[in-house]
Amino acid sequence: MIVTYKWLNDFVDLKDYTPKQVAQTFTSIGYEVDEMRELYKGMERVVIGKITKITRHPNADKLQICQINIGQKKPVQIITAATNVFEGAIVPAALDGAELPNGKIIKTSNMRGEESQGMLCAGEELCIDDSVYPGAMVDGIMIIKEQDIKDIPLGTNISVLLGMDDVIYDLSVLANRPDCQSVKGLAKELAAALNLPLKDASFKYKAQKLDMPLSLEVKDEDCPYFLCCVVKDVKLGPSPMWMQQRLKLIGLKPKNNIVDITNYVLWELGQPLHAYDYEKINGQSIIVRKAKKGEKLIALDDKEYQLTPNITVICDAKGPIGLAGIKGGAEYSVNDNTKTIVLESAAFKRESIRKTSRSIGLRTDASGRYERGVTPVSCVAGLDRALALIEQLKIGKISNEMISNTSVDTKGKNISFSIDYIKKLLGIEIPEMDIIRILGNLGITATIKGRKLNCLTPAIRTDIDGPNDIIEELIRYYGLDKLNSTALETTSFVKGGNSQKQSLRNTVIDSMMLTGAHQIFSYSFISPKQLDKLLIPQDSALRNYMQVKNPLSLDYSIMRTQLIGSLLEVVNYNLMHKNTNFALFEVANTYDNPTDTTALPQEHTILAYIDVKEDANFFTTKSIVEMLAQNLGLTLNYKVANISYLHPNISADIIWANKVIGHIGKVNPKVTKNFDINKDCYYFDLNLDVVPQKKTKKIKALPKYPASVRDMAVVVEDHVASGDMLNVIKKTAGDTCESVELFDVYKGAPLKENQKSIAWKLTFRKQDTTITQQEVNELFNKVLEALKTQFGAELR
Amino acid sequence: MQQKINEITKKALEEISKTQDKQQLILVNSKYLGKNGELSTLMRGLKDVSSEERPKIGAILNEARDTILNSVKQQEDSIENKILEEQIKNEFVDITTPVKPLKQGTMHPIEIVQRDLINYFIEQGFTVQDGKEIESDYYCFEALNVPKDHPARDAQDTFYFDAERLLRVHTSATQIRTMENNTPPIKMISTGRVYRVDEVDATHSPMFSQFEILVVDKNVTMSDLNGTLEKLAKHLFGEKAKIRLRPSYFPFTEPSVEVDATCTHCGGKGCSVCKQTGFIELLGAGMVHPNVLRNCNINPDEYTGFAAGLGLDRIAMIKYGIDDMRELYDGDINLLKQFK
Repeated sequence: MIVTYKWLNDFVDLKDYTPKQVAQTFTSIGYEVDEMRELYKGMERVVIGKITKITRHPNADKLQICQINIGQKKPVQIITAATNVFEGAIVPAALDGAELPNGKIIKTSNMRGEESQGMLCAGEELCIDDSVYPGAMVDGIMIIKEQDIKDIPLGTNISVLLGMDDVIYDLSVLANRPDCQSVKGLAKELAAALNLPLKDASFKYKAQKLDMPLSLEVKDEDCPYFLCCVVKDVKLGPSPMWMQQRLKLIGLKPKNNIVDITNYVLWELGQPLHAYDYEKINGQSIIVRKAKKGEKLIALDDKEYQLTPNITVICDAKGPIGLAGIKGGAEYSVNDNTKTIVLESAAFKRESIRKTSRSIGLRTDASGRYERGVTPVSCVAGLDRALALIEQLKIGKISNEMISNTSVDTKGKNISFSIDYIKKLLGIEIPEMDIIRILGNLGITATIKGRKLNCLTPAIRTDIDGPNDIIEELIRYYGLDKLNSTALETTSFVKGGNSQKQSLRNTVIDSMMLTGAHQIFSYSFISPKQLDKLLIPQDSALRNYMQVKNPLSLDYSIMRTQLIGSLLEVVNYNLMHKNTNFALFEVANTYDNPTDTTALPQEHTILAYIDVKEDANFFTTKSIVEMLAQNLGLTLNYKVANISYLHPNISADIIWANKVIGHIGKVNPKVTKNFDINKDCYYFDLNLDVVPQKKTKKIKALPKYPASVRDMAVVVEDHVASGDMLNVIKKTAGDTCESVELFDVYKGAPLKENQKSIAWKLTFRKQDTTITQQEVNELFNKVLEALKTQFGAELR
Repeated sequence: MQQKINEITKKALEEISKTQDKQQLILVNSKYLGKNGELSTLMRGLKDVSSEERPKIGAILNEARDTILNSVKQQEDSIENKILEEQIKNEFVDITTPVKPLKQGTMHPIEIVQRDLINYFIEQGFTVQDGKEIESDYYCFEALNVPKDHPARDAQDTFYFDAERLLRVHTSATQIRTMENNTPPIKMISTGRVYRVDEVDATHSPMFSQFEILVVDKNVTMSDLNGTLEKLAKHLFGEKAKIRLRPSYFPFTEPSVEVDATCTHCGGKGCSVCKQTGFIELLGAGMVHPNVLRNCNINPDEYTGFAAGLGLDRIAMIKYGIDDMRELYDGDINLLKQFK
């Protein structure tokens, strides 16, 4: 919301406060100052002067010496090279010490033997164009028209003439304060903060019987209040300079006096108004209703809008003449030939305006106000103010007939509570005097009886609903900096602690850090195209995803059911940026899509890892999984798997407690190609949801008796899985076998083509006595026998 | 006899001292002390010595054997030492040779900040609560007192799956789940990803991480909120950090405040990082709205509470001087590897 210092001054006398102090005050009461612009910056030493005499420079053909009257006894002498100056011309004169908006510094100087006490300025040098002052862009010195300084004496600062003796504030107004979407609303807050009285604008005008019939019918609940009034004998023309200048400062283009007044009131009081041409309204009747299917309207922006039955429209006897709360119809609004107008000041429900505005893609200053909320009370004030301005400018006769659909409830809310609650909520006491003063400043009538505070709010404060709202107003103006700084000393003791999920996350991340991998965060939503790149089959569960209804774009449109795609994208990003030899991991959620569409999806916490280091292979990757398994207390198995995005011969399901809890393998080279990756990638993921809480385990007693170690190299056929052999060895050898370790796999001569030799190291130990060689031999043979029968293994 | 023993001993010691390696030493050793060694032979001959002399000669023999044994041991030590010295002399590395450091992995900056805050609050008796990212309208808005026609509920701001299910826009949704399942005193924190309809640019992201703080108990005041946040700012930005409260509006808190901390970059003097204000926006907070307490069956006449939510991305960016939010999600190794 843009307001100016001078406009605020219409409502509150700020003469004792600098523009900067005003900005600080706004900040302290919750209005963030996004920008503060002092328009006169650079014009401080530029005044309006009149050239009284021009003489030729004795030593320079192209220079002229001007005597300038700047309202002082003695004229100043300024030398110029401009050719468009003449005796009697009124010009902007930059005096000694001026630092112009374009950065130029002006000093009294000697120009070829003659003194020049300043510089005459072109519009360009003041950084203004024709929109600020017509004629400013002329080639040469800016010439000021005589009639424009009728009320301004010579020597006055140029910014006064330009309407730039002002400061612009761009303020953020909180969503719950529609009443502060206006100059007056903000001035009221400022007055309360500075403890100054609020002045009001004029709402007075004379009305008369006009005999201009107009009927009104409101058929739509989204329009709680509609008020209008007829003005005839309208003298259309440009609005006065002061009004035009203010509209320009806030970024609006002046059009004609009637339209300018509606915009002026919109800004000043926050009430949107619209002026219709009375003669264009068919049947002398206004109807507010929902649009009918197939109806359309060409609005003031000359665009045709197709209307749908959820859009509220203002209609005459024939059809729509305006889009309620957004824009009027071009054909029915004020135009150059308008003689009589109907001024509309209405309230529409904010959700209805917001939906319409979004659906037709048109947002206006008016719709913006309605989206925040407009009260019937404000409709009355807005129309009265517009009519008062019409009378002030003497541009029309005002009807004494106010046409509305209902009466306005001007009553606010009664809120009462114990003043002890203030201390209970804030932790500090606010003196009763301050309570009464602060609330009074805000237009809230407050009385204290005993310990009870009774408040009556003004109707415009729709945001105030209960005691907490009143207390917010109190602390806002009493000062948030007056709060104590206590830190829960008086609350109960609570032990506190981490959630299981969060501590598991910590364990996993700490473990992954040891591997040298870097943690990444990638977006939870992805493009469905990623699933194609991963070669996910059409019937796969991974394609059963939640779809965002209003995504930013296709790239962010579905909730991911796997993490590998995002990891591959980050790998690609890094390779593109010439980063090589790295491993990445992410701990994030994947999301189901439940068949019950009213249920919230399951969110699974997944750890995913990808390795593109030169020395990465299946086994380095698997050893990371095993390290994690140790840290998490899991005993894992691996089972050959068929996963579209992994290499068909180098991939496995990771099994724990008979459940698939993850996948591991080399990324399918076809998939890496789809992601424009020209390196081998090794991958695994683990579903952390299934990991049980790690129990504190008692340590195993240290062995008291020596171990006996035996190596066993056996020859088997290629297809025999070492994992299966391991399980058999462990099962057969029993508890006496302390550990089984694979230490070599050999292929080649003298073995047959389809054979491999696997070497195991078996460690035997008894807890209660030294194991004998005979016992070891027996176990060794038993294991060998089992491997023979189950895998056809032969001792090498 | 005695003389013979002395001669053998003398000869043995001489030969031992001349040995160059272990092999020679073993030979010398067996020559004298072996099964048929010279001294062993003499020892076997002891049985022929007269019984009066036998103890005397026996003692001399034992002494001679010990002397030789000791000498062998000493010579062995000296030979081994020579070998080691030789080995040490030949072993050499250029200690200035550059090496590749053992690579340590890194935690993501958001994770670092998140974990630090979790630990900080757990120490003060807060409990971590897990939340859901895909939430219902009820937990994300309705129960949090967000009016039906509030702009935040619009598809312009919130990602929807259907009329009821959406991606949470704040971690505040977890407040409700926590208050429904627990009775005061409640001191909880919750953290995770949240989502808003924002195009990706240097300061916006459709996904970011939030950290939620909620306290509900008897005697919880806004001054407690003030003190808690002041301590938090000091924890995050150092002892000198101060906070500033500005009035704000959130439907689920009343009064609501925006909390700024003194700019870490300039210490509050004003610089480009803080846009000359000396302050940087830290978080939003307030006293839990009585309607929210009521929605969770907590009596607002008995209990009060405060809540605060801060953006972890923002904290990470301020802390590490990251000025483009996209860098947090690109996964560029050159950035990540700096977070040792």
